[in-house]
Amino acid sequence: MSTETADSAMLEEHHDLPLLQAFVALLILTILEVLFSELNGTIFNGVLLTLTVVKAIVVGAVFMEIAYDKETTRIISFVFVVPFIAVMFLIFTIAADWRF
Amino acid sequence: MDHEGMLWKSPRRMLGSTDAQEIGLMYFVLSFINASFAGLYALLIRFELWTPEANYFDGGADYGATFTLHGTVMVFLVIVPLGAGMGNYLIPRLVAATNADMYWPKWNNVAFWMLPIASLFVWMSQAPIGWTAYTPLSVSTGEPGIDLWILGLVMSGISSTIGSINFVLTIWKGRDPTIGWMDLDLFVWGTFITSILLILSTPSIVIAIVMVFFDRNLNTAFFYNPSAGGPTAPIMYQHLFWFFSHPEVYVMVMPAFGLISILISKYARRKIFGYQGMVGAFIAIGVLSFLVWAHHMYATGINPLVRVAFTTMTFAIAIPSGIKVFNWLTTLYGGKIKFGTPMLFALSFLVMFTLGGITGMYVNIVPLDITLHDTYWVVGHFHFIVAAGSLQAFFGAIYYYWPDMTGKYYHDLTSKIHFWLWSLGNLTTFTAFTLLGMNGMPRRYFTYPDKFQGLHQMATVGAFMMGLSFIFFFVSLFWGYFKGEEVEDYDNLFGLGSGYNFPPPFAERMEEENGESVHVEHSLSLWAGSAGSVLSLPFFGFLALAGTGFFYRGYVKNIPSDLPIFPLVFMAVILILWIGAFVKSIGESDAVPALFGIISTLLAMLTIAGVFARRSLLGYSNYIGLAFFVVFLLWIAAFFNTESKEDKGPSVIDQYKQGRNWEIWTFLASETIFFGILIGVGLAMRANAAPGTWVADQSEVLAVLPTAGNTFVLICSSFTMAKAVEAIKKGNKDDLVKYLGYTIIFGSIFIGFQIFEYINLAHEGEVALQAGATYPVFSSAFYIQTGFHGTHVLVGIILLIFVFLRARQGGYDEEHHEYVEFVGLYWHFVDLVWIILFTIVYLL
Repeated sequence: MSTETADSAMLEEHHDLPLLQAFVALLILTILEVLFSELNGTIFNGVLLTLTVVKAIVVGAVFMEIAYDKETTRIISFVFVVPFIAVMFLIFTIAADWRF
Repeated sequence: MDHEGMLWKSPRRMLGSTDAQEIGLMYFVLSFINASFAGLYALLIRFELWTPEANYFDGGADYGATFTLHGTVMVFLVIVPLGAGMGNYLIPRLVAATNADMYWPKWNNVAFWMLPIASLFVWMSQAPIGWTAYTPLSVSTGEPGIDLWILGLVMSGISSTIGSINFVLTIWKGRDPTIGWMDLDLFVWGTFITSILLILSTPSIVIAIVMVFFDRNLNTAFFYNPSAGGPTAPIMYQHLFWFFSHPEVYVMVMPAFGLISILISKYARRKIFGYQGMVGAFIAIGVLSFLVWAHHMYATGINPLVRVAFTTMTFAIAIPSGIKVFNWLTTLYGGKIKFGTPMLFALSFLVMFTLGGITGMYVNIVPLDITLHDTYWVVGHFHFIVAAGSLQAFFGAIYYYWPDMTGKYYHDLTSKIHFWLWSLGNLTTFTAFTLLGMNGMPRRYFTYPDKFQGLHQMATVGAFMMGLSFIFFFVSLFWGYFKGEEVEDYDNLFGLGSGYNFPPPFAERMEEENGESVHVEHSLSLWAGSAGSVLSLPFFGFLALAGTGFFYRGYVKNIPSDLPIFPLVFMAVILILWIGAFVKSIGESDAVPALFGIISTLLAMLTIAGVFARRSLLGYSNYIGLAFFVVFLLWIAAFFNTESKEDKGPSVIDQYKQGRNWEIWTFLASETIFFGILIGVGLAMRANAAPGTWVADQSEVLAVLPTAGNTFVLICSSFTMAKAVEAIKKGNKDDLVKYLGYTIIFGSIFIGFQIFEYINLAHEGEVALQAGATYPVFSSAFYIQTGFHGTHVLVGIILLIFVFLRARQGGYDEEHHEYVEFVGLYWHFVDLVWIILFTIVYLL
């Protein structure tokens, strides 16, 4: 699903995407997540979050084909990084200024 | 304007036009209708304040509604739509758009037609809570109109988002490829930055006011909930509100900056000085406008560290604003200035905007702000910026482009009377405001100590000068339209020695350079226009939810036994119109939207009647509200599908539309903000929740393992969706249908499980929203996060059904399958969000 238009599909390079591998990876990671969630402790929470981020990256990179797009950096910046920074700024401010 | 004459005579054309210039004109008309009423409300306020003894508002009870609607309408339904109107009118020509229109002509129509309905909602609401709707007041006030006000603003927010995505795409992807970024007109830059601000900030206010809606009606505990112990996080509302509303101020002034640049350059007969600096200033203002919102909150006793950061950022934003003012002045210096009416407005803008800026800097000094914040000083500052600033720019631009709109000149003398009355009225009123503020006159009071009477009367005189000036404005334009001088030489407009200087239209350039004939068509799309209207009807379903909520919470002690006549008559008129449209269009494609309209309206009438009459229907009104929502989604999907059917084969234009998936990527950027805020707010609530209001361990109250299974189901659906896209890229239509079918099944299982989970949780009573629920704060966060995600899944399923049906008819092939890709990207994004939500809500 590259950013190239479908109308100019003849210009588009087709990649054989590792869809099945991604699917299996997501399945395994989900199982690992549930297992780690049974363990208490900051380090396990860190592992859990890391697994989640890896899953999200797999979906974005393979299923959304961001890794195979000609505009990967631009998509990641505009769709994820800039909004993420803006949200973090807002949420940290809310948390720092929390009052009843 | 080719169609202009026909436009106003044909409701059908008005409803279905996809021509950006026509839609621009409709934005102007809507804005000025709203401005007229909101202006009358301002005069009512000033009339009341002529003496401290006056009492025309029932002891002040209705005074709140008057200033609330004046503010809300002027901000959201006058200034912002005027910017959108100017954008529509000018941008496709300023960028020589490849399709000679906005990038999405039909969605452009939808965005516009949502606004009249939003306006109706806001006007009907008569909400008395101020345009900021601060909590806990907006939650605890049992005034049903507040719900209507919220729904109106949500609609206006959706309209702005659709419009903004369209502007970004038109400028970025739809412009003539030979026009570089640094060749763009400054108005185009202003609109581009404005649109990005709206895309990124609108989700914040939508979330904030929807949370207020839920707190009021569904017993959630985001900001205030008596059954959860009173205020929970009322200050969080202010952060969410201003995260949107400060950029919104720049949304109101940046198009004006662009227009002023055009006018000053034209009437000084010089190129704008320091173009690159101006572009840099636009970008800097855009970035900084996201970093200063908390300066509206110093008076709340904000955390000192936060305060220091925001004070610094706010002073920094004066730098790019100063660059603009000095560049305009430098453009004037040495220019051959002609003082036509547009230029007078531009020069007045410079003075007023500078006064607004300077009065603003004072309230960034924290000790001063604590004294001045709740006084008329801030009212004066804001009006200098927006009324005396932005509106003047729009007045000037409308005069300047009037010959382009009508082929005739406006009436000069009356336009100048308009200018002097308006400008002196501004100066008189807003100066009085700032002086009143310095002397300590608080905002939002319908009476005052005698010592303020002189200044209040000064403000009232100025306000009536402004009101009078509006009459001269209309006289000047309409006199010009009917009896004005015809434009004979478009290359020497107003005797300036130059014309509008739009770049050559793309189609003409292609024909001249390559001999290729490019066909540009502005089609009529009743589908689009009807969609804009029908989109509004499901909101009555939410209103029904609101009514039910009031009933349950006991706000409405004595529900009248008779039916609410006004809403029902209103809906009956809409019903008759839809039936008429349906009868007229039987056998044509237009019959389908009319049928949707009939169904939606009937449901709305049943709901309203049921809720208010306390008949047996009352118990089912939630379900009817849900039915509305489904009709709404079906409508969207039907519209989506129709767009596809009208696709034509690739043309020379399409070759330049590289990167069409940016349509969906831009939308997803807005969605990232939306879900990011929802998740972030949930985390902040969790970290700060009062003891006992948040669960110690989610696994004790939530079904973690079954939900893990459900997560796996959604991952399966993403896999099959990816296979579907892969299949059609290889031209395999059968596999496309097969995998789309699997995706729909997996999606339906996911949503089915979620409904089952909700029913179970409600039954168990721990994670629930009724009064006395064990974990009110956790429940609020849980339902809003998973509920909004579930709604997105539902939207995805309906879109998939339509793509599936079209795929079965062979509607996609190896080269034409962009809608499969769009739905696919949306679906994967929803999956990605769930992956994060699952961990945060269920596991961590």
